Amino acid sequence: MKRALVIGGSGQLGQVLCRALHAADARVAFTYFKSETAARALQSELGCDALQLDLRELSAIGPALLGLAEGLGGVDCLIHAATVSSTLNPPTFDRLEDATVDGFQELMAINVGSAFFACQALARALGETRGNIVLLGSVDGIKPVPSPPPYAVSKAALKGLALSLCKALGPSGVCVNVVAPGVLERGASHTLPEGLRAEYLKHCGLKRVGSLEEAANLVCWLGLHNTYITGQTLMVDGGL
Amino acid sequence: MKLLAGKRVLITGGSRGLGRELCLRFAEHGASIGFSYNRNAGAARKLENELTQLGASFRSYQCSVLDTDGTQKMVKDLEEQLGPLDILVNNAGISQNLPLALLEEEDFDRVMDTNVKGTYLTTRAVVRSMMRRKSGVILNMGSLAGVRMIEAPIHYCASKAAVVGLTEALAKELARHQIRVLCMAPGLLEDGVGRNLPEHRLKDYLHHCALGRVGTFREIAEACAFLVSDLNGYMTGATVIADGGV
Repeated sequence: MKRALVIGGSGQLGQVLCRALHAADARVAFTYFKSETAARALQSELGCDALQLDLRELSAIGPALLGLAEGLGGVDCLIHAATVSSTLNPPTFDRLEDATVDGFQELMAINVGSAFFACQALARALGETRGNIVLLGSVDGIKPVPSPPPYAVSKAALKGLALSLCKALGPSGVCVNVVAPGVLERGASHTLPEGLRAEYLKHCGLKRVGSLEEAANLVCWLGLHNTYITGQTLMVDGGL
Repeated sequence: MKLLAGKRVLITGGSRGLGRELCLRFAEHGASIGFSYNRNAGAARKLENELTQLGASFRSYQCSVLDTDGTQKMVKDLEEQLGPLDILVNNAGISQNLPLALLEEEDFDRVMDTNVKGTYLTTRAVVRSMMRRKSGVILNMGSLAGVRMIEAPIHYCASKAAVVGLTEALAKELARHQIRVLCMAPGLLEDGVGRNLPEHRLKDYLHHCALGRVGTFREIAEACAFLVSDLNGYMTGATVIADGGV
């Protein structure tokens, strides 16, 4: 049985991911922060470990994840799905002039810093299983689309992280990839203004937004079955 | 998990190498298989035996991808025998290890014809039925040589880069019919087109490949099975590079 550790398991995409991994017979553990009620319900539904973890506290990430991995008896797959889409509270579709320094630092810590230190903490354990790391990117970090600049920067950084880590961890058999969805029905896409959603649908080949399941399926396959794709960013955007 | 249960698939260049593996793995995933081959009847018979042992439904056709009439007849017969095609894998491809100075015009044409024109002709033969049903997946076989700057024969690189362009244009054109078009671009594979590679080039590849090994047909075929499956319904126009991190 493969063992999967999901960072950000209580979000909308995170929950779908955890369920998909569980359905694929993986043993799952996940972290969450704000959505305690959703996390507890998911934990009880899947019978898995869940840990409340503030991803802004970068130095706390390593010890916490090593503890979760120990509880799983090792780790075959690390999935980073924790995402903040805005520097503001409540979240909006940030314009360049809206972004705040504190909000930017927090967003980068959660979207990028926590991914980096999670990979650092679990690199050795993943090497023991020749495992997979899958990071949740976004079309915003890959293609020239109207996007909140801080969010786009953070998602583009994950591509760089995968490119570098695929080389660093390849010799121990670990594959590192990014899944970059376009607009999905729920999740981080919720701040997208209606006009931009219509524009997206105009340019998207399949003329629809994606489902959370469609993004999660690819993440799960890469996490549990992939052995030769590494350093890649895979677009799931309906043909934008 | 059977990713392709009930699906009907045509795989060109199916009798050997990656094509053979695609036939076997897709059959294991529950698909009915049609495969074409150009010359190697012995390999085709061997594959037929293997597919029989798997209990798969299959048909095989000796048909060049450049035979327009033969391809149309093959698709018509296959759809009568197995039912409408859900998935086409344009796998047939050739290469030659020749430097530019030794590359004759007919060498260039042969590689471009098989790898690019063959993809176009087979797709055209299959796509009308998919358009009518507003459903289907086309997977084109690209190569790392078509997406990265590596030392490889120019006609092969050009042909595989063309396959990427064809994939993207076709994905846009066919998306309105709910047909997905994808490209798989493998790096060096065991016994693949790189089997005649000079020793120093293989060493160079392994040095630059993060995983430090060539890929196997099986791991590429398994990735392809996922890509063309219904689980991957929102990916189209993408070229997925599977090169171990070169």
